[in-house]
Amino acid sequence: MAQLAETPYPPLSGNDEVLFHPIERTTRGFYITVAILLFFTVMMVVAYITQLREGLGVTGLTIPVYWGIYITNFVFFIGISHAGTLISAILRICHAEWRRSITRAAEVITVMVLLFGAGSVITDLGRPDRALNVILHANFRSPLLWDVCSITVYMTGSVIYLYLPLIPDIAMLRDRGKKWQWLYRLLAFGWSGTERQHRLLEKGIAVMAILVIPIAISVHTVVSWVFAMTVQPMWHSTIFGPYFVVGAIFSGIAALLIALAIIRKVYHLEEYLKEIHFRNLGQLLLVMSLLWFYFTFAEHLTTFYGNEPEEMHILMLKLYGPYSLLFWAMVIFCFIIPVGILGIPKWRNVTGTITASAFIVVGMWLERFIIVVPSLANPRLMPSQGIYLPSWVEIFISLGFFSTFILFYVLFTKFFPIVSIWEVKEGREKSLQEVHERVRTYIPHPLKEG
Amino acid sequence: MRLGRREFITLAGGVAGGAALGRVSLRGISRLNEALEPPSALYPGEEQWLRSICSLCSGGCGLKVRTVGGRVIKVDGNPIYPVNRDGICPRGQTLTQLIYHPDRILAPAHRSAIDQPWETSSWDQTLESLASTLRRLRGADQQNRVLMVSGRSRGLTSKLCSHFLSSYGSNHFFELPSGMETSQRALEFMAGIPNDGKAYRMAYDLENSRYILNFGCDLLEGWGTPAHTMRLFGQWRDIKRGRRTTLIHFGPRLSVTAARSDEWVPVEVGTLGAMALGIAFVLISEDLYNRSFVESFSFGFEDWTDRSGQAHMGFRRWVREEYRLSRVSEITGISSETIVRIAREFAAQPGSIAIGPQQSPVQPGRLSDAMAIQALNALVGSIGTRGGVSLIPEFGWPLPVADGNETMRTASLDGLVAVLDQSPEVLILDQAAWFIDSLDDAHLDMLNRIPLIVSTSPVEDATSKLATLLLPDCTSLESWTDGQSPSAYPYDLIALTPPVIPPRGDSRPWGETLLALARMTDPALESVYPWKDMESLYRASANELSRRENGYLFGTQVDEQWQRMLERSGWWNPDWTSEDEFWDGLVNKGGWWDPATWVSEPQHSFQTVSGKFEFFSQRLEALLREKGGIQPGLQPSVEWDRQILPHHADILPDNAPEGFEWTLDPYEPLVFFGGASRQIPFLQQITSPYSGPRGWRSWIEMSAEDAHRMGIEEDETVWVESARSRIQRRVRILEGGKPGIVGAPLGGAPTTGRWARVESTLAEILVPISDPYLGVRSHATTRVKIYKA
Amino acid sequence: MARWGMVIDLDKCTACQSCVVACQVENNVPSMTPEESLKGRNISWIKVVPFPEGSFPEAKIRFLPLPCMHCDDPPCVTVCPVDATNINEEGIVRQIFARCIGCRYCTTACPYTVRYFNWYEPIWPQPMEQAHNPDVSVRPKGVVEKCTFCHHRLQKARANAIAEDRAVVAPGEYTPACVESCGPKAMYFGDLDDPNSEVSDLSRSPRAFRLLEELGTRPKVIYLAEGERSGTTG
Repeated sequence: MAQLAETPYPPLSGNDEVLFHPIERTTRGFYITVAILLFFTVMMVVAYITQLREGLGVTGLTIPVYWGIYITNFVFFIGISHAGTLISAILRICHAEWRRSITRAAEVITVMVLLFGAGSVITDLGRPDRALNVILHANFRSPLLWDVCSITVYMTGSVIYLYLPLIPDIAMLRDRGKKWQWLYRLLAFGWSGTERQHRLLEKGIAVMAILVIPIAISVHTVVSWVFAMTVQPMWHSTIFGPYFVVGAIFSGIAALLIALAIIRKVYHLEEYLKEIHFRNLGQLLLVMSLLWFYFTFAEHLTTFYGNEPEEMHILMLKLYGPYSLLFWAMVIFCFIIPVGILGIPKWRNVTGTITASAFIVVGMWLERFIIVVPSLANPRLMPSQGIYLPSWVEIFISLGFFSTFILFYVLFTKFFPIVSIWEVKEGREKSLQEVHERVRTYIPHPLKEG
Repeated sequence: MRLGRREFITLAGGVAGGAALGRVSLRGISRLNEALEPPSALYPGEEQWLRSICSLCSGGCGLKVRTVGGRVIKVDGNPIYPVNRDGICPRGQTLTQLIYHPDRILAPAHRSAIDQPWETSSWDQTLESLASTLRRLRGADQQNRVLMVSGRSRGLTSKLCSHFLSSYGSNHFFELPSGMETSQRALEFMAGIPNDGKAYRMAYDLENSRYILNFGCDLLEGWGTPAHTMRLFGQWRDIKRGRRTTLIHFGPRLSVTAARSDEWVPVEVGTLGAMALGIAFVLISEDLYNRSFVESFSFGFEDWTDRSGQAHMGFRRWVREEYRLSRVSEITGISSETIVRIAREFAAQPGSIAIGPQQSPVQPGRLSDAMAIQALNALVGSIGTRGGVSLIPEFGWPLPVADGNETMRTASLDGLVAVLDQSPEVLILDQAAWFIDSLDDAHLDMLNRIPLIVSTSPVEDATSKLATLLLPDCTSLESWTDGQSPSAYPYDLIALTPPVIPPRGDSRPWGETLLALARMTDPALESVYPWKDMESLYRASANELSRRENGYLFGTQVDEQWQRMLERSGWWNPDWTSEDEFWDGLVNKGGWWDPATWVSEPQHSFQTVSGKFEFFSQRLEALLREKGGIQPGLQPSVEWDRQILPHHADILPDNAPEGFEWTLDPYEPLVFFGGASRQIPFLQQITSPYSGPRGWRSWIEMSAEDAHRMGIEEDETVWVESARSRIQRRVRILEGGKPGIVGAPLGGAPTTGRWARVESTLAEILVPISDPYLGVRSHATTRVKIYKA
Repeated sequence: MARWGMVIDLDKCTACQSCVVACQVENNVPSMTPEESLKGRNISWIKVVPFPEGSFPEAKIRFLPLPCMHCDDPPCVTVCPVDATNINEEGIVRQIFARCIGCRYCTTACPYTVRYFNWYEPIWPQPMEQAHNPDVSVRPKGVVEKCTFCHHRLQKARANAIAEDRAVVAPGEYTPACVESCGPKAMYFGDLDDPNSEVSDLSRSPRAFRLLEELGTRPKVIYLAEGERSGTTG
């Protein structure tokens, strides 16, 4: 302690009371938001009941477009899920200090959105009542089964990874002795903040952070393999794995940025989610946008140059045909607009980054759609059957998925702090010194002090 | 996974026991689910294979029917039925859907007007109401106010229909045209038929043809007997039979036949006659024609002088002067190289035949074209030869009454429409949906003014929609059914099968209904038809047939070869010795035929004025003289000869209004051939093999080029407007179709029943043009414009 | 063990679609309502696909009857997550309707698009279900179905053979409904492994080809290309 006091970086102190406000005070805005979201959720339930009763015929799917926006949503949601765990894990491992106030928000996205990713596939099943057959009659040669496995593992991993750093905060909530005592007592797992507990927790988080990265990458790779393992034109591609992972991280960051901006605004957390967070994530987003474009370009150029008739047929449908509007919208939303905004440093502020993010989220959904549908719509041995248009059931279920995801997210913020309080505290108290010492180890031949 | 009851109980018990022990396995539950899934009956009933005959078109293919527990499960081709041997067209396959159609009419019914609800009643009551009307009209000597339109056209019931009507005293009986009438008329004019009061029919020996010039016939769609034509097509291309038969298709529309032919020659609309004469030109000028036949057995080939000393132009000079290649090429739009090549191939081998022109109920074809086509057959000497064409005596089920075999000629549509104008009182529509299809709204209004319309349709269709009295027939599987040689078939054949299942509901075979009606109408009529039911009528008819001393009961293809061999050596080994044996054999084997009907010898004597094949038909000349000629002032001169010699006549109206740039080509698609079958879902799903599964709507076919130019997309709705009216149709785009041609199928969406859709008929826009010889309309030249709806 | 296969002679095919209807009747395939049909949701285990070639006047349209190819290496079988489709020892690719979860991965993986999905509970307007073939189970909603080479007919033929104390099903004893109904006799069916069978003979014809062979699926439906027009001496 004495030594600490001697350093030029004394621990800062601060009041994190504002972080408890979302949990302890409920505004009218909250109820209105929940009501709106619930409305869409109810619509979703109505639509899904219709689909269950009648059959998948109520969708716009036909022969040969057997997969439509349900599968698009599946790929999209799984992609968004990379926001959290992966980014938070990478930042943790890299000891990026600015991560402290954003990791929680990111991890929650992962866990919540995964539910809807998996849910999309269930919705797409003709016989959801038989979904358990994937366990009873598992065929491990099927990429869909690989998906089932990797998503299950990912789900488990991300829940643990969300939960571990949540424990000290839950304990804090327990100790404040306000609402939901029983819940927090249960979840706090007897946390008392001892040195040993801290050590174990840090160790656990570190292990999970490392584990979660390969799992996350595998998940989206396997998702891409659902397509790439078939011999359908413009699906059967070797770069689909990395291409999907890049797209996933890309859309994940964009979704995270939007979530952060809303949290910051609604819960008045400008002090915690600062301009710099957006600036840093914006830079990351710029890199991902360029990387995404690189993959997209490589993928399409290879197809174009190879000039195989079947592949070309699909490519031309995307570039000039009925899907061209969506295709070019995707290029503009995912590349031209984001690079245009984020490429200019002075626009890399809160407004700029969330504008870019909004476009990216839409653009990436379009990208998934454009990957799934055109290849199916024009099979080799069948005359074209026109364009696939989703029906009201599909649209309401999709809207419902989005709104319910947001609802769950909002509810999470009602029960748990959306900014990791203990980590922020820890950062404030310890990290200046830590960073100072770490940086010192980078420097060649540091002069002996004193 | 399908489980028997025993296994199921074991399994269910096991699962229940497992659950009781608290060790319920998920796999066990899943098995249980799988077992519960198909609610299959444990014993569906006895399985039987029976024979029947298809009644969905006049072809009458032999059927092999599978029944299980008295239900018809599957219909296939009868392997020993000579016409179709195993194969069957898609329409025959859907008989199960017809028998168990949800819109079947299962009991006689009547209503006071067509907007009133139906009331079912007993057969006696319903028949009596019709019989009393018939009695009243007969009493007032107005029998001619009773009309019957039938789509049967062949078989004993058909004969009974026409005989019933003539015995009653009406002569207004109309039958579905077979689609060969014009070709046959042409051949009758040129080759003649004996004046023995018997009916003759034209037949092609296509099985043995080696080179076929097809002038517009939709061989693979609605032509002749589909299953027979398909079988022939398979034989033409069966390498095991040796040389492959070449099929050349002339016609503007890219039909399935055109697409599947060896060569499609897309001639301009209405130029089939010119094309035939262009080929004749090459045959004559290159000296490729059959000299021995033409010189010895034909008349009017060279210039000649008649009894009055008048010089006439011969066919040779006529063709050489009038149908030079450059002119034919200009008329038809086909290069002279192509014409020369095809003509040389045509003359190169025996077994060449020219068939055509295309005909349909709304489009009877032109006599001048048909004569030009038959002239080609004479030029290569294919009259009566192996693989050629001939007129053979009509042969069918004899009606065992006095004058029973006198058949009424099929009248034209125009003749029928003329009768409709004379305020008829009773109209009986028997399998006549085709007839409604060929009427426009004005004609339908005329029908609506008829006080009593009777429909015999077994399902709700266009005829039952108009009717006020229903006397529901049943399908051929529910009654005694006969068959006989279909049109163009070269062999004599009759067939008979007992019912496969009893009539559904209270429906009744139309023949039985007619017999009952005769009994109720008049004792005089009753005495003409002394049979209590169709079975005894068939028996009586078969007894007459058993006296024949030729032919065999149906057998396998091996039997057929053997019988042919016997015939060639002049032997006949009868399968029966008595009437009873004949009857038993007939019912057991399904029919009798004479595989040696076709003599395969070049015909050398003709029943014409000259006794030869007449390029210049003296019968036609006499007919025209009788009629006063087309242009009376011109006879006798070259101009007169011009009307009688096979020729090409411009039929495109000179004053085609501005903007009507397309020519409508009406045709009968296979699934709606003969007018019925619109209500059958399986057929609506396969309306055309061109563009995917889009049925249930009427459509037109446009070339991709035209559609692209007009910015019209596949499946878009457009207006088709002619000088008369306009109708809406969906567009099917035909890749490679001839620009300027619009294919228009007859038939489309069902007009009644649960899947009904209101659509204007094609007849609404057709512009009738009369054939100068036959005096009937020909719609080949309806000009239309097309624009987006 | 036989390896069942089909040969389709495109030269003889008249595009009449008899095979399509024969299959639907035999296998209790429901007919669609007009609305569903217009959406392109007809189920036809075998369908006739047009391939227009060239433009007017040299246009040709080729028609291809397209049943399940019963590939020796079927892409649909590997992708099924629940093993609801498999290939049996005689090479017939089958579908287990009671296990299928309706994910439609097989329908998307099949390069021939010959697998069909039951969008709704199949409906037969009264009394059309009277004509149901008792040998074939009716599929529930939400599962995938496909051509089985009329597998139930093989089972019956085999039962007959066993009853008559024969070891194998005789040639011609087992024929799918489409082959049986073909008017021009353009379809052949039999054991591809039997060197004396008609199909194995035809499969070695210089006209023989398989669809999308380059995908390595090894189809057991073999097509014979259209023949050359006879030469003339003229």
